[in-house]
Amino acid sequence: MNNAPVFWALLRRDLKIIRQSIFSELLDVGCLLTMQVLVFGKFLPLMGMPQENIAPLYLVSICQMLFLLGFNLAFNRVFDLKFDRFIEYHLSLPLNKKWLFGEYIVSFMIKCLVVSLPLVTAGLFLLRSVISLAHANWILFFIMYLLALLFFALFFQFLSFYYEFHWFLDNVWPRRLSPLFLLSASFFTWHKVYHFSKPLGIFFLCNPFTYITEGFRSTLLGGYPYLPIVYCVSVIALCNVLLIRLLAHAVKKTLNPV
Amino acid sequence: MIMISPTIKIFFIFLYRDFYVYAKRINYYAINYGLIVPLLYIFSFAYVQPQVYFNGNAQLGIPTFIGNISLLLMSLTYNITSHMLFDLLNDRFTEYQISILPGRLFIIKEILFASLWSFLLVIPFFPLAKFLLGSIFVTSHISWVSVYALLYLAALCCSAYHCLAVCIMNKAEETRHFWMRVNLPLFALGGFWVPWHIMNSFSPWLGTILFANPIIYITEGLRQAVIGGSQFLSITTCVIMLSFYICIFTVLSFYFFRKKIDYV
Repeated sequence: MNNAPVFWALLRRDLKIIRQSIFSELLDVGCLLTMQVLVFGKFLPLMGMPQENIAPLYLVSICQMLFLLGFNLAFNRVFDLKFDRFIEYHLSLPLNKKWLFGEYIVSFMIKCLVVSLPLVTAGLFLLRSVISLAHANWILFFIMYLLALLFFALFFQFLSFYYEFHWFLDNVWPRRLSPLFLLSASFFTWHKVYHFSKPLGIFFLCNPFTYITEGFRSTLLGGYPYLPIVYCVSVIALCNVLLIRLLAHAVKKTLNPV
Repeated sequence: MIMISPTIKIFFIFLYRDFYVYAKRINYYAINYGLIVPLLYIFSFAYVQPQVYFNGNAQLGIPTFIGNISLLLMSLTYNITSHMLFDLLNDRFTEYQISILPGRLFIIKEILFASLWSFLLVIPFFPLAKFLLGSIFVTSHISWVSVYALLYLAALCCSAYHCLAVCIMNKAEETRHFWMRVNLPLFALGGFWVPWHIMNSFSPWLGTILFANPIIYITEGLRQAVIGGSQFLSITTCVIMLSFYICIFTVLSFYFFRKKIDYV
């Protein structure tokens, strides 16, 4: 089976869809970004939050953006699995199933990259007076970004295949996404949490989102007081390998492809 | 003996049916919205956040934490009212209901049920916070009657608002745009994080515009009822404005539901 031509044809189709919906996606994510800039950059400092907290907390918006884009992907997928079943057409194509799911992941990563990067850059520009990028390591940031994109693509694909439509709609936010997001170093820097409570800091280390947010902080704002980038990259890479196995299991459970 | 008109009887039968159906899923609702989400909010926003953001000044974190209930109410009422959107795509039980119940009464029934159900689930939110946070959550100025009166009005307002949204939306896929473009700015600028007086001090122009945001009256009213002080809007203002928005959203829901279903 020659997989590459079908893979490229599917990818081209997805890129065409991304091109058509890019303004709508940018508008969605732009609303989030505006709110983040206002809340973390302007309002919370007026309440007494120290200025040095603005940069690490604003960088959460990258994670939040990917989180919401990932949720949209998962929502569309569970909706398709329940109602439209367009995936059945994809499964009937002369394409190895691993290539098919690989295409889903690559297409999601491209979409996230296209939508999130300009907005993150715009946010950093708007908050340039309080966010210093003098210690940024752009190559490491890009590696971390790609790993995070792969993580989100795999994680949300896994959720959409593993859980049934109604369970997904009712439970995925309160039981899976909210705990993962709120019990990580998303809204707090890990070192401050560890300084406040050691058991809590260790508990937060069990959450992969801690490594994603801390990885972004470490690469853009400089090493200390954030988790070392080597740890973040290693843990996310390991989580990605684990998620590939979990996704394969979830796909088999839902579709049972031969 | 009091005579009840058949229409009113059907109204209450459908209302009872909704409670009966949802009571079967009480475990899911109680665990998700009565326990997991409040615990996460209490832990993150009232316990850890003040330590990290405000250098251990817990009292600065409490106004933020009180505003968090707006998101809980918004997601809960949307979860309940959005079932009508999925029903119209699939089972169309709604059509059966409006064949024997006037459309306006159906909408009132939907709003009433969503508000009562969500109110029941948010009842433990503040007592649970007090129990877990102890002295961090100062309740010496709290007026429990005002808190619960405002919570019910807030639930009613969010239910009417989401009922209107569901009546306007045509496809389930529009949900994400609705949350990102409408609900996110509404609750982020509605006092979820920061009280109105902070946003007003940042820009009086923005502060004035925010009077048009119904969520601001939920968060400000609850902050006034729990903490008190002249910096928050008065409870009377919040009650009046919430009642006004409930009426507006309900009337608009009648109109858009009629357009959507085209019932005679």
